[in-house]
Amino acid sequence: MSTGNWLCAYAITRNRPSTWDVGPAPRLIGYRDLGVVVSEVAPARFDRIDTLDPVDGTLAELAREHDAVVRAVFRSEPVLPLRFGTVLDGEDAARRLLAAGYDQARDCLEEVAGHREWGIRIRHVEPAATTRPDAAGLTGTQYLVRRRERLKAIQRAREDVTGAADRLEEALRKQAADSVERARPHGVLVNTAYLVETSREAEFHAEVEWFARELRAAGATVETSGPWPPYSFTDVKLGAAADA
Amino acid sequence: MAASSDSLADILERVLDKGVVIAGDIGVSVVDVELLTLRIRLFIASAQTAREMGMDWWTNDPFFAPNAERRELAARVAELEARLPVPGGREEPR
Repeated sequence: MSTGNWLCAYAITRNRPSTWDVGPAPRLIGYRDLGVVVSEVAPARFDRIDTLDPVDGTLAELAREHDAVVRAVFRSEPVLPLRFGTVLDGEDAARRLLAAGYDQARDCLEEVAGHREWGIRIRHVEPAATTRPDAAGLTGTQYLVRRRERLKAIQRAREDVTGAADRLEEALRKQAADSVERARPHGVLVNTAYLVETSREAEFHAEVEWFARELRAAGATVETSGPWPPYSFTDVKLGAAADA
Repeated sequence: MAASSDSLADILERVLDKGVVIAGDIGVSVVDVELLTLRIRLFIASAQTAREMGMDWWTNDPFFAPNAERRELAARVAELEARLPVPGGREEPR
């Protein structure tokens, strides 16, 4: 392993000279019409990454920094964000990377150019189906009737919400160039990232607003995040055989 | 429209989990393997704190949380129960 600073790589973009007003003073290493955005980072900064506090710990700080560089480039050029923690073995390695992955990277960059990523999350927390009605003063049959009614009400609400959520997703897919479903923690019904052409963003958000009203009425909440650089739409492995 | 919230959870979800990955065999990167190991250790170490913040997107991932299926099972049992006729009760007029 080399000594001295690490060359952290943040994103692949077009090979156009730019300066970015962002913390770690990134620079561009070019190959043909592509460039990779890198900066020198002291390896010591990664030391405590596994003892983090997720709020203001090392990892949070480095992740925000990574995101800030990607965004700074994204303000003027299309980007392919690189996975956090991509550390290159010097400038020659950066050029080798672009040479080895040139066709793949160029195609992918063309695909995402002119688009931004938006996240849509629908939350719906239902009352726990496992709680039971208070049995005091009820006959066995009354108890079971009540329990069944409660479960049916929960199920009806669930059907209302999932119905509206399905219609929202269908409407958004029509506006978006691509979509990716993401992991859904408990209570999250929909967690999807959409790749939207900038000229269609107004229509996209109009659809979100339209269905958000219906979903709110049914007891769910709709959260939008973005615009993001196309993080969720650059699921490629550079340098791996393209026919894989 | 509603204010968008690019929370830390959203950033981590994208920065750590998405983006272009470089294949090991072109020999340009130094520490990808070490960082990957750290990342997994990190998830396990901070799972509790992160869950409290609502950053629990990996809890449904069978790799990190083998019990994730249990919740789904409980919900399915409740749903089936709702369809059962009440014992001793009359048929519902529907």
